[in-house]
Amino acid sequence: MKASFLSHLVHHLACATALCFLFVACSADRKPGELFGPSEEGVLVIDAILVVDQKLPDLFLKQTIAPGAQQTANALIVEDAQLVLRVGDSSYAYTPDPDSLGRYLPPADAPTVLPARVYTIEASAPDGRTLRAQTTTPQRIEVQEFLILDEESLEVDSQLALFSELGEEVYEVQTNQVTYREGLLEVRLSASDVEAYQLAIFNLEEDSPLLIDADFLEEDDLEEFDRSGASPPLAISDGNARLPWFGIAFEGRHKFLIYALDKNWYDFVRTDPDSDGGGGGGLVGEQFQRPVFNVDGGIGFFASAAVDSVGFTVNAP
Amino acid sequence: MRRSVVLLRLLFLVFIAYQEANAATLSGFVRDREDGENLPNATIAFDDLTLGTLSNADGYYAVQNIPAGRHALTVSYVGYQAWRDTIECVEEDQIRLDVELRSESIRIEEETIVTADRLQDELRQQVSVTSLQAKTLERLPSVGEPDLLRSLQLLPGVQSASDISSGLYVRGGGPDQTRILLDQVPLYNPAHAFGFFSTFNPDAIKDITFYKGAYPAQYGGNLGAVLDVQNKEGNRRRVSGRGGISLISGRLLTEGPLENGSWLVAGRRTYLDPVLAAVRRTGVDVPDYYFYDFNVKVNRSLSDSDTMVLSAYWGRDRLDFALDPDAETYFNILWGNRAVSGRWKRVFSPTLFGRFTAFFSEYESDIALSFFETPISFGNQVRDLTFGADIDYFASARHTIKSGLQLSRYAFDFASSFNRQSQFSLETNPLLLSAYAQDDWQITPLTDLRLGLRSSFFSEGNRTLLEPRFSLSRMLQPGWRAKLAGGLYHQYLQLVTSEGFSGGDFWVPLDESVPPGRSWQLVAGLEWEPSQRYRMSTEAYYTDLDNLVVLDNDSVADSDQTRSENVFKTGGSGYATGLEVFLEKRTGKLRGWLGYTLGWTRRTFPEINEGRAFPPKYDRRHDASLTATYSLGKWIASASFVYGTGQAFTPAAARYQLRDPATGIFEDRALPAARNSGRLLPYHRLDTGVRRSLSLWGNDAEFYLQVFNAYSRRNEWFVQYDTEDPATEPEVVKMLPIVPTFGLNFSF
Repeated sequence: MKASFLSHLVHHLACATALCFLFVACSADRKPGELFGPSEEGVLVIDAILVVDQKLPDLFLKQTIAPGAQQTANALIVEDAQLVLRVGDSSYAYTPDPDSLGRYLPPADAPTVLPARVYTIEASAPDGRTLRAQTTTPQRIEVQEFLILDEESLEVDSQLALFSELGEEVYEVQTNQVTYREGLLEVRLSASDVEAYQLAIFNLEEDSPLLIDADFLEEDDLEEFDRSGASPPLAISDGNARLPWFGIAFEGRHKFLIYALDKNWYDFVRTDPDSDGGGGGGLVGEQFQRPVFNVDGGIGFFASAAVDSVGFTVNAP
Repeated sequence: MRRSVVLLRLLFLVFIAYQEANAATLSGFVRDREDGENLPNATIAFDDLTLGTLSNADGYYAVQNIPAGRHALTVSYVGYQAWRDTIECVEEDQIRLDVELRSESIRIEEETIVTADRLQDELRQQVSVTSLQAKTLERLPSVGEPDLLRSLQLLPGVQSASDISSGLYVRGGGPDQTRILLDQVPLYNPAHAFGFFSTFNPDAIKDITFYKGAYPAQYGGNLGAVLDVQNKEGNRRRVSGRGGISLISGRLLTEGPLENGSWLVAGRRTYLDPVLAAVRRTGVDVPDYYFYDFNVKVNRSLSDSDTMVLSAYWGRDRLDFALDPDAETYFNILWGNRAVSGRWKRVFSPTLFGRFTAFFSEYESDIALSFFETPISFGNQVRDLTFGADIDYFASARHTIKSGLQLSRYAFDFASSFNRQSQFSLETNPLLLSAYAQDDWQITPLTDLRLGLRSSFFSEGNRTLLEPRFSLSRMLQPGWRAKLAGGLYHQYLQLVTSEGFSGGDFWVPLDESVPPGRSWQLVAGLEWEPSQRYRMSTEAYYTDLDNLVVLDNDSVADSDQTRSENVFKTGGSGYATGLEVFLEKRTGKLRGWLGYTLGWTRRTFPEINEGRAFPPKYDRRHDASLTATYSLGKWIASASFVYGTGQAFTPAAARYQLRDPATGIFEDRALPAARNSGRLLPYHRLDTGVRRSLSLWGNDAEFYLQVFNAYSRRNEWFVQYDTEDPATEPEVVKMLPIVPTFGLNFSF
């Protein structure tokens, strides 16, 4: 009796399950809009970078748009907001840039950014939305040596001139003429107590020829090479920052910047899924995560860094 | 103090066990008649007495307290004809009886097989354990060739991460929470082809015991499950062999007798490399790739009471991708396991069985890549040298005491370098000392209780931990059995892996800066066998997890901080709970099972998702599988269907624009919503296969045709956000389409 009942149950269940699943199986397509989460449009986005020993910078105040919305300049900007930057007892009111929506300009007499100071930004939009963030600027850093090392022995092959020695002439002097992919470029920094650094490379030419030529690269790939790029955050605990050759794609003058990061900058770039500069998102799950913004009432970054740089010219082999 | 009380109670149980009257004792080995292989978990039962036992992992059994007189004895094992005889016992007699069972394949008698099944199940007292045989694996449809881990993914409570993954996600736990043993030796990365295949050669497998949870005290080291695979020991009767040719690889196993013993050699290798080389000659950039594995085993009886077993495993995967040698741009990866073990098994007395083991297991992975003369490398080695002793004491008809001691010396070595600069370097050599004792106690003829305690000392952090385990089983009425099991589990070693890519996996021990992972598990089950053909079981489980860690990808890229608190995001907690239903038809031309799991899993980490709980990607509300095989003469048709709630993923909640702080260039970005708050479409797939037996030059052979994903459902794998184009929608990357494969198996 029991066996008979179960036998029928099994056969019916098997058939019903198979039919249901085959029915469900008809399509695996869906509308892309279904892939978005609950919209968080209209959140204020602050974009401000203070660099030690440079003038107070221009700031950008924008807002988020719905994930599936068309991204246009008008949708992103926040007009006529009030922005005030404070340091110690001083405060500096920013004004909208009439030539660039979303950009806000410091007062004409704005001072330079000082190291080891706490700066605060407060922004309020006309509709009452407010945002606040704070950064503590790092101590100054200094490039002490710029070297080319032998690839095998890692001994110093040659020493390159610094901006502090020759200024803009570094791009012209013989010592700073570097042959593409010969030796290792290394910058030696003064001691610093920052948590992390970030490196950036800029090709200063507008249309110098591409140095990279590899069998596996298609024409489209070659067109996508940028004249600038940045590293992930680095500890550089021994004070020696090495520039990888894959960061250089074009002939000509290059400027290599070393940023000593404040907490906000470090938190953002270490958690940003776009920090590789590729502009893409991440995979499912662990890699696509919300960056740490350290901004109250909004997102973005209000960050600071100390910076030093070296210059050199790359020539084809 | 509390720990001392628990220990005293256990000692008391042992003492009680010793005190029971000692009548006649029957002991011996249960073996396969055809090849002499020992049969673990065979059932030994006196038909007229409430006495019986199971053979241990080495096929040894002992039944004590047999009253004087003539008694009918049945020895049975799944897939074998039961052995029946009458035994004449006198008081204090010690009878040695080695039993050889005939395989089902020699003479198929359905009722005989069923009887064996029933006896075994009735005596099996543990919950959440599945015992599979190689024959079951062979019949299930697969991609290319039978694969142990992929077949286990068809069981309720077990999931896969993707079509290309053989990793086991058991009851809401990740792959690292399942301990995988081959002949008692842990394998630290049991995957070939980046996880597509497991390292287990299907021809060499003899027995598979899979604990989905609440595993007993004899095992330790992982938070969730245990997969214990035993390879064959070799044919003691004649030289024989079997092998197979599939589209991907060829494999061959040979085995034969040795003086008082046997030997076995098995190997498998892909032959993709010549194909890939031919493709490369046409100018298409494809990598060079192969994998292989070897199993060797020698087994020799030194006397009636002593047996030595030596075994070795060696597996390697290698991928070389020279994108442009002139540009010094390449990608090479190598990984694999090596294991060597020696085991001495001794019957000290009819009721005392000892097993002494020494093994060395090594896992290594090396990744070397270079982009335009910028070399990057990651290297990881885990070495595990272990000495262990296990004693099975058949203390009385009601008590079987198992105890053991194991000392492991690990050597972990991880190093990475970038652009010829050493970055992360970790070398550590911790010690792990563990001991266990457990009592299988037949409280009444209908009630079985297993009590166990495991203790471990780990030198990293000088931690000593106690882990109580229990399992209770009671037959409510004929055909009905209720079960309850639970325990405390810890994990000292942590796997660092990336989604869907197992080649670069590495293991690191947790040091004193981070407590080891901890889980409490409780499982309750009810089993119903209304007839000999059918079995239905349901289990509810709850696992509480604490001290979880995940790799901290959000630190500096060149970190040289090697402390666990710097390497991992720590302080994680979570739970997994669910209900599994399993309905099986075990005999007849049509066999198979239907499994269903209703489950919930959550994790909480202070540094993830703003400290809010989130479902891991393998959280599945519904997960169902249906497998069926149909035998008709020389033909066997098989099918398996799986259905699961779509994987969790993190959707975008908004778009915004921000400069890259280092370059100052504006970038369009997607703002992630709460972690894993979205779901991909439900996953479902039908695999089918057909096999035909044939004769090949007088030897048995079998041709098979299999179709993976028969209706070519393009299941969703992950979502990619491309924000470079202002109007771009997210892209869904799909998994494998229909994949037909065919091959030939043979034996001689």
